[in-house]
Amino acid sequence: MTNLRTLPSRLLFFSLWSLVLIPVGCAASRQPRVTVVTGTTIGLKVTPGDGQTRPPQVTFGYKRAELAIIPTKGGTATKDASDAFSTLAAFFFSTEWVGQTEIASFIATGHSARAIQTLGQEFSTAFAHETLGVVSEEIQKRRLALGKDWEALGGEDEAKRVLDFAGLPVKPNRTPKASLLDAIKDAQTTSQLMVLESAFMRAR
Amino acid sequence: MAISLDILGAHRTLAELQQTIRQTEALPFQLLSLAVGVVGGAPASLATFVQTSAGGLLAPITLEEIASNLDKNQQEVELNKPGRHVVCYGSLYVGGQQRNVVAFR
Repeated sequence: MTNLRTLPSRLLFFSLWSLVLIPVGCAASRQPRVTVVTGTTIGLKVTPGDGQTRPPQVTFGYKRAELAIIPTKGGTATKDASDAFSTLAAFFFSTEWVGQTEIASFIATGHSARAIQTLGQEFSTAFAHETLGVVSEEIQKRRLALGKDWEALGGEDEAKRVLDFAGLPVKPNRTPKASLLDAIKDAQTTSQLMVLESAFMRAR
Repeated sequence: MAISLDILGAHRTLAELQQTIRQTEALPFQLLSLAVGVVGGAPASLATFVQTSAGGLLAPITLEEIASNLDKNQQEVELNKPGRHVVCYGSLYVGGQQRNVVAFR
């Protein structure tokens, strides 16, 4: 039986499969061309239950294959001039069960495949990942409540206990209280907040 | 007093960035600086905060863009508008574009 928990490893498997096929395609061909093959299969089937006659059934499937044949002049790849041989394939899948579902596939060849992996190149100048953003009113209220709990802490020992219960470390060059306040600021999801709220309750 | 460094979203609007800073200052933090920098090789809008005991007591931060085509003296005039206590003046990515931004109370 396949369930959602197995999907990431399945995805990894197929991503690896894709990456393995690329060099095989290149090596197997002695013709002046590059062959890129990728394949993806994602499956989910839940069938149990039969009150009587009709069983509830959930099926989610996705199967695809891509093949690209890129003619080249057969020359060797050089650093700055010709390169039709380098290939990069990436596949991303995300799900929140029936809700949000994402599938993204990306293939680059030649200099694009090389440049995208190099820091400072035009392909990799994406902005750094946001660590602080606007949070909902509800999350902000809960952060403020945690801030009040933080202010009421007895001292560093108590702060360290809260961090321990939350499974969070004391940050380098910072005290446990300072580290804990940072953790409250960084808590921007309900699950992060629940960890801290529970840790405060256990530490009291 | 511990300093916290945070990366603000590069594609946020000025209003969203302002709201982010206000929400953070409502906790016991105080804005120290805004700057465009580089983190892990990628450009980033950086905000530093200092932890303070005056959480929620500070007047709210307002962010305002200063036009980049203004010369130095004109920008100074903008910064010295009456009724503002300027916290810092720097640059941020706003909607993906680098802009001059003043933060004041």
